[in-house]
Amino acid sequence: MFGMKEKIFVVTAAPHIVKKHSVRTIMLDTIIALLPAGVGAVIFFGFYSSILILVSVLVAILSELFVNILRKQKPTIFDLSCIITGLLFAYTLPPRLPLWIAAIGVFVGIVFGKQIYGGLGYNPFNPALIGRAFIHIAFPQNMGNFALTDAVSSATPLTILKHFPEQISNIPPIKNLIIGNYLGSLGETSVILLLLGYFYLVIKKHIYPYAPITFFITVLLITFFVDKHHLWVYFFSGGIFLGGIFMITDPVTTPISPKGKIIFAICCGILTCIIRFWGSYPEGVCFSILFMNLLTPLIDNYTIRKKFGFRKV
Amino acid sequence: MKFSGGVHPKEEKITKHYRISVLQTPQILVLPLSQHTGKPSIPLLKTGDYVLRGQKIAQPDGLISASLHSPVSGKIVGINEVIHPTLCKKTPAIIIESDGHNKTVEFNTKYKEYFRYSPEELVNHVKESGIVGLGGAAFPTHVKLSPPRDKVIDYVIANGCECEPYLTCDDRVMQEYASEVVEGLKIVMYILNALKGIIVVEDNKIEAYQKLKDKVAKTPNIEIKLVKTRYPQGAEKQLIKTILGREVPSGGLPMDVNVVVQNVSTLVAIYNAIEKGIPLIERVITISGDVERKGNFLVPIGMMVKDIIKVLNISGENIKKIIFGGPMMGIAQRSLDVPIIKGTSGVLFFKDSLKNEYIQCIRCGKCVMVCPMKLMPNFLSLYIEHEKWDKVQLYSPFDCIECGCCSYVCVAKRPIVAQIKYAKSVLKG
Repeated sequence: MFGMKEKIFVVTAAPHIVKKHSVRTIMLDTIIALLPAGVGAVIFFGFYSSILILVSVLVAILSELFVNILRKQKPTIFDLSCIITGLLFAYTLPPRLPLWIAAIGVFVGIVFGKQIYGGLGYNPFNPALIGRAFIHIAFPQNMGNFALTDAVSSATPLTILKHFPEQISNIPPIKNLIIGNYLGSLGETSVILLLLGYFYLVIKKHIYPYAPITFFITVLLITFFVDKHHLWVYFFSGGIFLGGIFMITDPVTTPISPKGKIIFAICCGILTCIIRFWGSYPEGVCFSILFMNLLTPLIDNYTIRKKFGFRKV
Repeated sequence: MKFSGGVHPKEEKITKHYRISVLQTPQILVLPLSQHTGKPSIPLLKTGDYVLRGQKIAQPDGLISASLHSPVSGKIVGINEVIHPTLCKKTPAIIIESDGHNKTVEFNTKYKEYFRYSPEELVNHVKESGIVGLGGAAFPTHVKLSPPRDKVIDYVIANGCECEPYLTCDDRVMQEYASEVVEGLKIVMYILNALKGIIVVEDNKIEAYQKLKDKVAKTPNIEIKLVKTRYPQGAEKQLIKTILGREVPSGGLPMDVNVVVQNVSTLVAIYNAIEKGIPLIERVITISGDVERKGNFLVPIGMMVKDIIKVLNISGENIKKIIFGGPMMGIAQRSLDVPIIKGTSGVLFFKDSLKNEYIQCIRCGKCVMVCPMKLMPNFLSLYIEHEKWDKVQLYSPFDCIECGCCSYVCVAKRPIVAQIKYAKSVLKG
């Protein structure tokens, strides 16, 4: 019984209990939240979509490993964040994009969008969006072609509204826009499936629920004043839900405080509408979020929380 | 009004149904001169002197300090440097060897009918009795009971939240000494001339709530409130916010919003001092964690942990960690050669020790959402790590109450609260 008498015990700082979760579990939950939209993509756009998604994820993992080897560090792939980057990236691609373009995009995203800054937690920009923006500019033809076969029109509802007003009758009914069976990027079309992910993340308390809602309301309000007739087409198609739920809530690249997150969401909404209505691209979610990522440190600086017991003089 | 933030760790109140039992008095007692917030006490006796149980052995040094009494009768065998359980360094302590007779001084019961005496006399008696806050911080009680003249106190809150997991000593005290808690509260209300007393209990201590409710049924100016179990509900500022909606200003004290908070065990100690004349020489502690013998025990102040495990026959083969206090704010001990002091609410034995590894912040913001002081622990952690002290000060490290919620929820396992404690010591200079 005196065995422990001379023993030296472990001394660590309080607290001596911690919540049983980790970076990996957060990332795993985000992957789970992203899955319904991926399943939807395969159903709506066929088997090739699953190959495109798998290749993106695989190249994301390999790119991360590649940098780990270059930097002689322990593999960081087990925090699962590169899988999210791969998935998010794949979801922004046209359904029939050649695999090699996708591979280039995700490589650029992981290496130049994330690892070059020091890896997870240090990247100023959303790596998936960096990859997507890169191939958007490097391969505009491929990135603008949403056709599933050569025979049919390749225009998304937003392209029709922007460039081919004579084809407005081809825009699918709102019901389809919500379900997701219309032309668009792989994972962005189904509002319902993306919302499933939103509720999962909110229940798990991984995202601040009001940030996506603020973003949605901002887009709705501006669209209402600019083009009331196609309000719901603008709202339910394009990347509003994919970006609003999974990208403006990315912890690393968005402000920390609730107030900062709201400001971020409002600005993203405004910029998205500016690009959509007055810019040369039909869709603006990707570039608006990338631009706002740039302003995250600034927003953080001006949104320090008012502490408990703070009193106005 | 509930306070913002907070967490709800697994409660683990394993010992809540274990009645308080008295532990056999050990041979040797070690009483550090610094058992309270403020200056260490000054010893009144020297090595070789004979002391009686309840005899004053050290007096306060200045205003914020406390007296010290012998919990046993016996001989002072030395005033040596020993390891202090919360300061974690060697400090002077009076070491007493018990003669086993427990010969007791005649307790001063003059103040039994306390309402015949002035508040000043009573406060002085509390000071003479060496009473400090028993919730953990061990702030001298007589200081809390003598606010400056311009501060009117309208509420006295009896803190029975005990929001730390594992600890059940306050719960048991409320159940077994319910009338003493209420009487102690009445004494404090008399001293402070307060209008109203509120006893606050968390809803995982429903038995204590029922017992106290019966006791205060006929007392119109004492109310009892049940609050939701949430850590750190028992922190003074958060408690006042929840009960009265008042926000103690940054850098201020509860008396700045006309409130005084006393832990329920402290109220029992005040009752014992005023009504029975017994100074603070023993307290109830919880023994819990991964050991066979658990429970709530009345132990003399100064009892060593090694004597406790001897008396309780704890084998502790696999014990890796010993904690004084609760698991959220308690302090890990290096060895068994440390004494129970006035502020020790429990001793926990754990089989597992957490890993020290942590990774970079991924800015998930969970610490920001749980911080009850509405600080931004992520930025504090980041700037402290890089020693950017001007930036650190921007994020108000001195408002941190060190509750540990940030470290508890951190997904990257960063030791945020430990970093903030370090920053405070650096910035204080």
